[in-house]
Amino acid sequence: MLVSPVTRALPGIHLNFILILVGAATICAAAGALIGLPTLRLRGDYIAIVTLAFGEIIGVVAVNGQSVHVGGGMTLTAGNLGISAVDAPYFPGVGSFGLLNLRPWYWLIFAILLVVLFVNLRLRDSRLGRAWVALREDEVAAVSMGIPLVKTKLLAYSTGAAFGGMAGAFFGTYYTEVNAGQFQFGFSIFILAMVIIGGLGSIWGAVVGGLALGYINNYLIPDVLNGLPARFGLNFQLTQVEFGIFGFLLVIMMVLRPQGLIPERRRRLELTAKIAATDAQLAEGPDTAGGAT
Amino acid sequence: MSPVETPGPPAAAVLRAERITKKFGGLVAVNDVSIDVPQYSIVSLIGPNGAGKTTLFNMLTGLYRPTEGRIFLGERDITHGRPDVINRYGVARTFQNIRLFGAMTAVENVMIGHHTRMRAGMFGSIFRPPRVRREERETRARARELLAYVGLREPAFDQLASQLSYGDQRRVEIARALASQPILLLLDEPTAGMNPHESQALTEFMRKLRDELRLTILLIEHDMKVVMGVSERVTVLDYGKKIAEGEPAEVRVDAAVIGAYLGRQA
Repeated sequence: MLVSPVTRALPGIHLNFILILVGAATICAAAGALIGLPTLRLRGDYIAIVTLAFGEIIGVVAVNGQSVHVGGGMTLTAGNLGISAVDAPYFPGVGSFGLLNLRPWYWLIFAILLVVLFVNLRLRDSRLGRAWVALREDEVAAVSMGIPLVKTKLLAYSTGAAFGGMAGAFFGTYYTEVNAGQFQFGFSIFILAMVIIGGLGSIWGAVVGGLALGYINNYLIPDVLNGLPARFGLNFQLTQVEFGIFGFLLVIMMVLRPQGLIPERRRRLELTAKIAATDAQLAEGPDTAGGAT
Repeated sequence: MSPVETPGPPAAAVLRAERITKKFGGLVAVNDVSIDVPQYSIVSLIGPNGAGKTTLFNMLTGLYRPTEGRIFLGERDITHGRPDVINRYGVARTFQNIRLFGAMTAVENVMIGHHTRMRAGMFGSIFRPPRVRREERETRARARELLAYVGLREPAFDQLASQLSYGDQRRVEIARALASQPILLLLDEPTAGMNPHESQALTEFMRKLRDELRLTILLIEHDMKVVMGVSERVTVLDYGKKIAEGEPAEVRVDAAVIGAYLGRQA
């Protein structure tokens, strides 16, 4: 159903892209919960470290799975080949997406982005979103006030992973293949940098961080500034040091604007209130300033 | 404010801990303690620092598992219950060193207290059918009602909890506990850091809670004026053991209690 007649004639599995998208989100949600289980007792930075480590493990398993035989002459994975020849999306009336016309791809990922944004904004201002913030703020108080720890935490993992699954489905069809080499450690760090530069915990921050780093990575560095070192008589191109540039940006952000480009509302409230308190203190005069706090 | 319905026969023990012990490695923090909290009563738990009072609270609310012994809420065995489940059964608490969600507003903090009584799940949260909208609206209204009830002033409702004054933070914590519609309220040193006037006001407020909301209250308290003024029964812990129990007037003159507080004579 709803598969391009051209690809339907080819061997292999062919499904409509919407089905793939939903399937990827569902499977990744389950995988997210599974990976979330061993990290339940961890918090903050430690969760990030373990999550990144899982990213490495899965890549290595995908490459080396080639030498694991599961019977019938089959191996667990196809190794470095990954999954290749992934169908392009096909919609009736639009036809199959081609590689020459990028517009349909753009509108597709834009639509996915809108769905993810909608879901995130709704969740943030809901019973579940409140419970997530409460758990982040104080786990002991949160469970004492009736928030189920395991279920709530795993739901957070699952939703995050489901969004990742949707992005992965698009990624696969856009590049017509999926393999471990596309998901190097640097790529994880690149995405993490988008979130940090945008503002941790902020939905619009992640959008702006993604746009900013995407613009720098895909346009500013390779097309505009790439020849800059050569003009100063230096023997390298800017694309060769791009990770250095991102690292530099992160450091600059940490020093000048640690809350990110668009800080989370709560953090912004905290910061402005602190400034207001300091102002009030100064207005009262130096005598009372010490005792007021 | 409508009183909370509490099923079960009157004057029965709401909470009964039977010979509970908690060991941390070689340290026996709570040693073979039994305690009965009758319905609609106010019971105080006193004892010197490190006597095991908060450890006992943590077992009653499911944060710690007792090494030995059993805990009953009414007829229900909650010895091995998870904290969130015990909260749903009707036990709510406050903490000695206030544990509010600092980055959330006072109203949001109280809404968290109502979490177990709400039903919106993942899909309800995303699609917001009328049922979820109504639930959210009612929870918010109820949270404001509760904040007013505990005496928070309107302008503080939408301030971040971390920016409230100390006294207001205590109030919000009690409102948050009340939001879960408990039958039993555990207060861990509610008057800590308060002046005598504020302590007196809180004492009256505890009676009001018991009478208006039909609550049963168990509190840890250091201020003897509060203990003697508010509680029907007093249990005294020292080095993890229960050394005395009874009416305030009896406990006050108990030799073991005086010894624990002032030091025993050789």
